[in-house]
Formats: sequence, C-alpha cells, structure tokens
Amino acid sequence: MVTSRVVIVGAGPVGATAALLLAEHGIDTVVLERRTHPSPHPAAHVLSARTLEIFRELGLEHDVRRLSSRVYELRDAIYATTFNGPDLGRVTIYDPYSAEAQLIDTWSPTRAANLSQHVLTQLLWDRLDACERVEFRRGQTYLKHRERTGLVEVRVNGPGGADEEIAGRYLIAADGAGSPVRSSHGFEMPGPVLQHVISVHFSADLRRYLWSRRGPVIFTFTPGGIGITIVHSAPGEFVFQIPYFPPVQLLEDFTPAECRRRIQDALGDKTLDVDVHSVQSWAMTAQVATHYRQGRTFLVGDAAHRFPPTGGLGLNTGVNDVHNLAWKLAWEIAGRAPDGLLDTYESERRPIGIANTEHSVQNFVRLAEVFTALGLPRLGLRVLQTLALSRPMTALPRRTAQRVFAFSMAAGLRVLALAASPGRVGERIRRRAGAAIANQSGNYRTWGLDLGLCYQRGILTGGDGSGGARDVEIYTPEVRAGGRVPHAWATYRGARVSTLDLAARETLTILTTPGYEASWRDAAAEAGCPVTVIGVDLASCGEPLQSHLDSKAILLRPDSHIAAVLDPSKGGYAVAVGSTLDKLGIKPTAKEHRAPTH
Amino acid sequence: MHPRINEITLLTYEWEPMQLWWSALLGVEPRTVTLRTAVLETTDMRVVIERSEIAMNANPEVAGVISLTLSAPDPRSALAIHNRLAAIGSRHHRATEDAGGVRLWYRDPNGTDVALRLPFDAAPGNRPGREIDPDQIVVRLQAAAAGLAPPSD
Repeated sequence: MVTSRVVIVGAGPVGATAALLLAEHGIDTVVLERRTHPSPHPAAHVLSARTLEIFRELGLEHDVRRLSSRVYELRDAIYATTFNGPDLGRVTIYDPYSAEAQLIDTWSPTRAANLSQHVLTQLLWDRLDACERVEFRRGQTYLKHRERTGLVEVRVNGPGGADEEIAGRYLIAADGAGSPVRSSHGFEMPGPVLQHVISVHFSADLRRYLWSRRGPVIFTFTPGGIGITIVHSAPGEFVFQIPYFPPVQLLEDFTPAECRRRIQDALGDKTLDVDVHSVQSWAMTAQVATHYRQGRTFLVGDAAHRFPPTGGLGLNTGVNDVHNLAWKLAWEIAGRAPDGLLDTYESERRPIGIANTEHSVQNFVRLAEVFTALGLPRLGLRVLQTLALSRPMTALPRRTAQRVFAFSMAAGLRVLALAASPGRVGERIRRRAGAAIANQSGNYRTWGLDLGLCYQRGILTGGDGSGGARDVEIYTPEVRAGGRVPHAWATYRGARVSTLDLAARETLTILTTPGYEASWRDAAAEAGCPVTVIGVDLASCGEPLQSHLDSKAILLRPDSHIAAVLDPSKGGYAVAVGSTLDKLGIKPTAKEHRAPTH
Repeated sequence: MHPRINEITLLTYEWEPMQLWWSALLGVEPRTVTLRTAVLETTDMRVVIERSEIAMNANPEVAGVISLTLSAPDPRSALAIHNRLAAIGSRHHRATEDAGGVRLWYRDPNGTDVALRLPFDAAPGNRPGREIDPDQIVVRLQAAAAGLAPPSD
C-alpha cells in the first residue's frame, strides 16, 4: 500500500497547525482526535509574535488578532495583595503608547496575542473541517501503531466503538503531555515535577477592578493563599490557578464552593458573584523527551516537552516545532529532501525545547524572590510538598493530615497580611516586593527568545556555532545562519510584503536585491539545483538587511530561517551557490543541471 | 469653515443588533431604505448601516477607521445616551483621558469601539493618558446632569 499522507494524533493547537501547514505544502493528512469538541476549560493563552507569524502564513492572523484581547488589555503583569488591595508591583509587557512599542512593532509583521486555547482550538478545527487536504476525525482514541516498510499503521477506536487501522507515511504525535504515542515508543521524559496546580475556570464581573489593572496575569498574595488569575477574556472570563499539594490535598477537595471562597479571597471581595464552571488539576513539570524522532514517528508540542507556563512558551514552542517539521516532511514525501533532512528536526528543535524548559524553570525559580520579599520562606512551596509527602503526614488519617497541613500553611501565610497593611511596615514590604517583581520581566518579555531563535546544527551552514537567542527580552534583528530572517516591509510584485513572506515552499530561496538578481539566478542555474531567486528592493528596509544585501545574498529555507549567507567575494556567485548547496546536501537535478560555461 | 464628517457607513452581518445599538446611541429610529440599507439621521450626522451576510469580522487592528468618538452638547444629553445604551445591555467598558478631555467607551455589535466625549475634565489627580475608573466617571456624569458640580474625587 502506498500512501503519501501523514497521520497526526491529536488536534490541539499544535497538531491542528501541523495539519494546516502540511496542507499548505500540498500534503494530505488524517488527524485523529480523541475529543469530539474542544475542551471548554481554558489552558494556554499566550501566542507569541513568532506563532502569529506562522498563523499569518496560514491566513489565520486576522481572526486570531480579532479574537485576542485588545492591546490595551495586555499592558502589565500585575502583582497585588488582592484585586481590591494595594499593588505590590507590575512588569510592563507592552504599553501600546510607548516608544518601546514603536520599536517592537518593527520586529515582526504581526504581534503577540492573548487568546484562550479553547477559542483558538475551535478556530483551528473550523479550518481543519474546511481544508480539503485534511481528513479530520473526532472521537478517535489512539490504541497503538506499528511501522512497516514505507509506512506506519495506527490503530484507533472510533466513536462507534469499533477499532480501525489507518495508514500513513509518517506519524506526528501531537497528543499532549501524557502522549500515548510517546509511551508506546518508550521515550523517556526525564525531569522533575515542580508544582501541582488546581485550575479553576470561572466568570465574574471584575470590571470595577480591571479598569486600573490591564493585564493578562494577576498574582495575588493573601493570608488565604497565593493565586494567579489569568484574564482569558476581559472583563468576565478567567482562570484561577492555586498551588496544591497531593496526596494531602486532592482535586476533589477543591469543590466549586471551596474554589469560589478562594477566588473571593483573592479578589478581596467576599460578596462578589463568582460562577465556577470547571475545576481541573495539572502538574507543572520540566521535562524534555530524550528523542524527538524514532523511525517514522515524530514528537511535537507537549508530547516532546513539558515546561512551566512561566514564560508562556509551551504552546508556542509546539507551533514552532511543527513549522520546522512540516516543510521537511513535505520535501521528504516529494522526494526532494537532502539526505538526513528529517534528522535535523531533532537536532534543531530539541535544543530549543531544552533551552525553553530551562528558561521557564528559571522564571519559576525567580518567583521565589517575590515570596521572600513578602516574608515567605524562599523554598516554601517545596517545603510544603515535602511535608505533604512525608511519612508522618501520609501515616495520618487524611482528614487529620489535612487539618495539620492547613494549619501549617496558614501559619506560614499569615505574614502576607502585613503586605496589605497601611502602615510603614506594609509600605516597606510592598517596596521590597516591588523590587523583586521588577526582576520578573523575563517571565513576560521574551521577544529575544521568540524572534531571535537560532538553530545551531541542522540544515544550515556558516553559523557562528552559538545557537539560541542572544537575549531573552530584547530582539536585535540580525542576519545569522540558523536564525529567522529579519522582518522588513518591502514591495514585491506591486504588493506590500514582509521579508518573511518571500521564502518559497518547494525550494530554497536566494533573497537579493533587483540589481543582483540576474547574477544569482545564473549562479543557481549553473549549480543545477532548483533554487528560487527573489530580488526585492530593500533600500527602505533599513538594517541589517540593507547592508547585507548590498554585497551578499541570503539563502532562505521554507520556514524563513536562514540556511546560509551567500558571499560572492570569494570565488564569484556560482561558487557561492554551488559550494553552499553542496554543504547542505542539495543535489543537482539532471534536468536542471548545466555544465559550467568556462 | 473646515469640512466635517457628516456620514459614516457601517457594514455588518449583525443587521438588527446594529440598528438597535446605533439607534440607542443617536436617539433616533432607523429608517430602512432598501433591503440591505438602513439610515439613522440626526441634525449633524447620518449613519448608514449596510447589511451583508458575507461581511468579514471587524478587527480593531486593521488599517482604517477603528474607533469613533461622538460628543454630546451637555451632561444631560450625554447621560441620556449612556442610559439608552445601558437599557439595551451595552455597558461602558473603559474611560480614558487625553488632550481632548474624558471619553467613556462602549462597543457596538460589530466590535467597534465607540466613545462618548464628556463635557468635563478628569479629576485633577488623574495623569493624562492613564485609565480612569469608568464607574466613577458615570457617577460624575450623573452628578453633572443633575446640575451638581462634578465631584473632584
């Protein structure tokens, strides 16, 4: 049986994006999703600028930005005693009226967005349903799979209860943190569980508090507990996150009434109507799979990496995974891939998964500085988890253990009352907390990490070997092999385009200026390899593109990452193209190869 | 005399909600001109609502007109507008201050932000450009409309 389609298990944002990207590359997919409807419980909400750039390729940018929080609602990350009480500090994420915002707007043709995962998922599912290249099957539970020569067979249990076998050329495991596909391969996910968290989806009219607190994340610190409110859709839809400590505390202890009480405590308003919709638990981990690929199976998104939400990198890293993988699979299936192209998925993306995990963990650890400033023990959360797991505690009847534990927590948290006190002590604590909060910016300001991402090893040549991003917060556009081509607006064929719009899907692209276009085109023809050459007037684009393209050209991959910088000064145009393509393993095609003219 | 805008056209698939909302804002009844056109006319302004089932969703970040600001001649008129919008469930969601004074913001069924410029300044302590408590602004508007001096917070 010969098939060129790709099987995708999981239609969360990452799996769905994979299917849509593959469709753009002309590849058919069958998407197998366990659920029949998207989960209504909001999960991730931060969509980075790079993710929006990828959605822009798919024609999704307009809808995502339309549905996203308005920009003025994304101004700050806020730390407060309660919603009703004094502020402890803020980190400005994006002030649309600031000079910094003007600079940020030059880095990308789009912007980061705040959109609940369940809203995004519905949008993506609508697109999957409408896409002719996607067979989207809901209510399909993955059972197992096996590889045979040239294909992979996936066994699923359908909504009618019958098992079925579905074949594809490759399998993408986008089936989330608990990935059954990953488990079936025996991939390990080394790394610790950092915290257990209760997630409460609720509605309340918080207008009276939010007008002065415009931001997607609000931390609250009260003697009743620490909470994080995620503003999914202002002013009425939120998620309240509560650290909890199994086995002394269990999910069933967090009844809607208990969650309402805790939310009202965080609000500082015990009379406000709070409508609890659903309560879930999740484990905050820092884990990266030992491998991203085995045979015809690829791990993407949470199936490949799980890290704390401190940094908002999880979903975005997953979307970038499939953006990296889609064109490589398409090239492989079309028979135009250089040897080992599919291996570069792991060599390029796994280091990014590790780096983003480390960054997210650092952010999580840095939160302890705020706790300390407020008078809490630096390792308080860890101490509580150790206590919850301790032998004496587990030996007690659970009700007794809960009372002892609650007493210990209350004793520890009592100090937080001082932070809200009006006197000099309160002021001093708030000042100290403010200084610690000012140091939390890496948690929210990650343009450098997002747009400055650079692959170290893979389908590229001439990199500086450093990989990663130069700076977490601030992005400095640069032309760097392995990095994303800097964005600049240009006019091409009469239309206003971004440089990110120019990469061809089926070939590498030489990006140059009109004056050198013919030279590079001749060189590409001489090399005999299918390469697209685009000359764009970049005179108005500014640096770093302008001076680079004065003398050199940029070789772009279909994912708009730079495969190489072509320099004709040492040997001419043909040598620059030929030697670079040779290093990348791109082979001449017999039909297109021309003998050298000299 | 400088030219002034006297007509705006709004494209929508929210045909009835848009007529209801703009009728509440302007205090006039919509007049259906064709199957897909309704007009709301005041002495100074004409709003044309055009119906299209294939209209694309509005986006506050597309190029072009993204918000509209209306001014009321006096606090009583402003409060009447506010009350009419409140009566159809359209709540003020934001108050801001800029060089032109205080604006109270609403959102029409298309998702367009529409502001009402109020005939008084922000409280003296307010820093221009910062958000203002919209409920407090409504209280001040009510006081001003009742003929009281607006409280200075």
